[in-house]
Amino acid sequence: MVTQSSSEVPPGAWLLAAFAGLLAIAIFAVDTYTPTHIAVAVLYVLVILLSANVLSRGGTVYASAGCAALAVISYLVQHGALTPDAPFARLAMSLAAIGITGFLVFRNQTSQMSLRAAERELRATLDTIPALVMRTRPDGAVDFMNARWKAQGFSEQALTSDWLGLVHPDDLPAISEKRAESIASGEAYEAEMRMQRADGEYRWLLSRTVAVRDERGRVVARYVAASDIEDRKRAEAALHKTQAELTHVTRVTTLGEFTASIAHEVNQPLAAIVTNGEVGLRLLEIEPLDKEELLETTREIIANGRRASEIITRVRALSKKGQTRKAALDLNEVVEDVIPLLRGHALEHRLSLRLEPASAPQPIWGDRVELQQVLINLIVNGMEAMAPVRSEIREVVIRSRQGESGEALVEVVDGGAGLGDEDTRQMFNAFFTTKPNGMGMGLAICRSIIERHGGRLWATNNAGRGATLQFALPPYRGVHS
Amino acid sequence: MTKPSQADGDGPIVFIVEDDQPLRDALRRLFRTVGLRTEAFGSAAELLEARLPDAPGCLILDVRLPGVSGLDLQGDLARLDIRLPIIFMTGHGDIPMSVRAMKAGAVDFLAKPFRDQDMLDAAAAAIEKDRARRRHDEQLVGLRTLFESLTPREREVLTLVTAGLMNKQVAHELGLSEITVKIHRGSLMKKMDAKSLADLVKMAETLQISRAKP
Repeated sequence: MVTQSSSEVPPGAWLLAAFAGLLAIAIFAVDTYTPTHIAVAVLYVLVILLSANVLSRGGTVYASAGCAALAVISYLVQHGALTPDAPFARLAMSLAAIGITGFLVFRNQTSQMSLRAAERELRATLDTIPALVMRTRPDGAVDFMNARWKAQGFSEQALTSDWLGLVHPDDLPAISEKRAESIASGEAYEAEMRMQRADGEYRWLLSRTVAVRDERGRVVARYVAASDIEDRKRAEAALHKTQAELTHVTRVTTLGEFTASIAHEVNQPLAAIVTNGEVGLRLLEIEPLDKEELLETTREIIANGRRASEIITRVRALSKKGQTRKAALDLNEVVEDVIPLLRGHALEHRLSLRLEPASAPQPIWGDRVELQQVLINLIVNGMEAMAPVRSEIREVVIRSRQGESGEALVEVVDGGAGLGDEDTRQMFNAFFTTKPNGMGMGLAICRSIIERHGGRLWATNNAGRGATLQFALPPYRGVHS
Repeated sequence: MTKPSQADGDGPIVFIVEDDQPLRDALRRLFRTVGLRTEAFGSAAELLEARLPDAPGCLILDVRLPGVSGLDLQGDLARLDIRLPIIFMTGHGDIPMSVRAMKAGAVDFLAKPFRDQDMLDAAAAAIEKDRARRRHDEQLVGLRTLFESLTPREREVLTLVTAGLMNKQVAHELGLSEITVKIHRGSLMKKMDAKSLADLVKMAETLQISRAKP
């Protein structure tokens, strides 16, 4: 096989060569001492053929010459001189056969040599490129790999025996899925996967696999070229962590700005609880006891206790630190959940928030807390845009709807002064702010959150007054696509 | 517990403007336990659209309201000459806000959550204030009618007499005889239903009649 260096001679060849030597002696003996009427010397052809695998091109020339010389010697011993008779004709025929065979073997050896040279060159090339290259047969067995695998610490034996066994079990389903897709489509596929090195450590690899097909379209081999992307993966993870921390910090900062309005929001149900409690005590002192009213009052206490607790839960969820956790969500619900947190803030700005949810649920795949953070930022932005404006309709409209191509859209429409050219160009850049105390991180982070969700966030001026900030997220259809 | 008398058909009414429905209901319940009628609204606009019954009462008003705020509503009501005493409620003790409200004539400013007794006391005091104002208003209307029944000369005499002038001085001022002044005085005392000069002075004060300074 190609995996072994082809310049070496297989062990069985030496036996054949030895046999060829003995055969030459036997032929010489028969040819010299037995008067035959057939061209025994033709059999020297066998000797040349048998030794072809062992001999170099020069060896073949010598062997052919040697065989020819032996044939001539045998003739001279038997017939003395060169006379144009039948034995001479037989000698001529034998010599011709030996010569032709020698020539063919020589030529064959020459072409094999150049083939080997080409192969060596190819190997050298494959070993030089900074990628892990291997070829697999249709059954998945590896029949070639370049030297990079070993250089990067992978075990060649383990790869040859079962390379899929080295792939991290978590990455296998995605690979087999992609592979199935590529078999169906006939196109090359790329996959990211972790593969285990000889020392047991997993490394992230990015692989590209191309199938080679025969005339009938059957896959005869697959070439896999992979590169180590461990460093990139680590940098990505570190970046992701930093982003998550920054996102969290800005979220907490934003929440801090709302402390007063959140306190107000919790205080409302508390006031209702206290008042209802006192009403209850008063009812108990009135004769006759109004049981119906007392029951209703008590139920109200419970309902308002729950309400207060829900608000606290929402705030806690928003302030919690942790890895982003994506799940299937209804974007409508995400929007509805942030409204109570912002109502107090809206009242302070003497604005009302109007929610226009999509009539059907809007399934998406995302992180609830992060998306709420985006919404809070966009809505607060809208409210602040309206602060200096004296208008009759003082409301921010939050509308969710399905876009033309099925995406889930949320629009935050304000009636403020609208956006200037500079604003539209820069508003999503970090540290761009029009507020005296702003850090300019809010919208930049919003955009990165939305982009991490595979969506986009943009702003436009309204036909009338004000601006609309909106984002679109890809719809979620059950399985992750 | 003191139940205010419901004898009069127009018993006092507590108006409530609070956008948070559970708290609004709780307040209604609280006033019901002391037998007070309530009319509750979710926003300033709702209150302004409603036809308010003519009865003594008070207004419990949340500072933070959607659209028009409680403080704005206070101003609007003053412009509309609706003089319901106002008790403000606020979610967070905001001193500048309460100062503004009190300056604009609020009778009380309660932080949520408030004590029920504080709310009831504030409401009772506010209703009492409204009653007194209404009585005063009624009196004023009566006095004005009486005052309008006086002849121009009698009005002149009344103005000067209640300013502390003696009959002789009045006569001199108006170029009349003292007798004529006495006749006018007797007639106007009768018309105004005043028992004494002191009574008449009080009426003049209520009517805000004062002698124009020469």
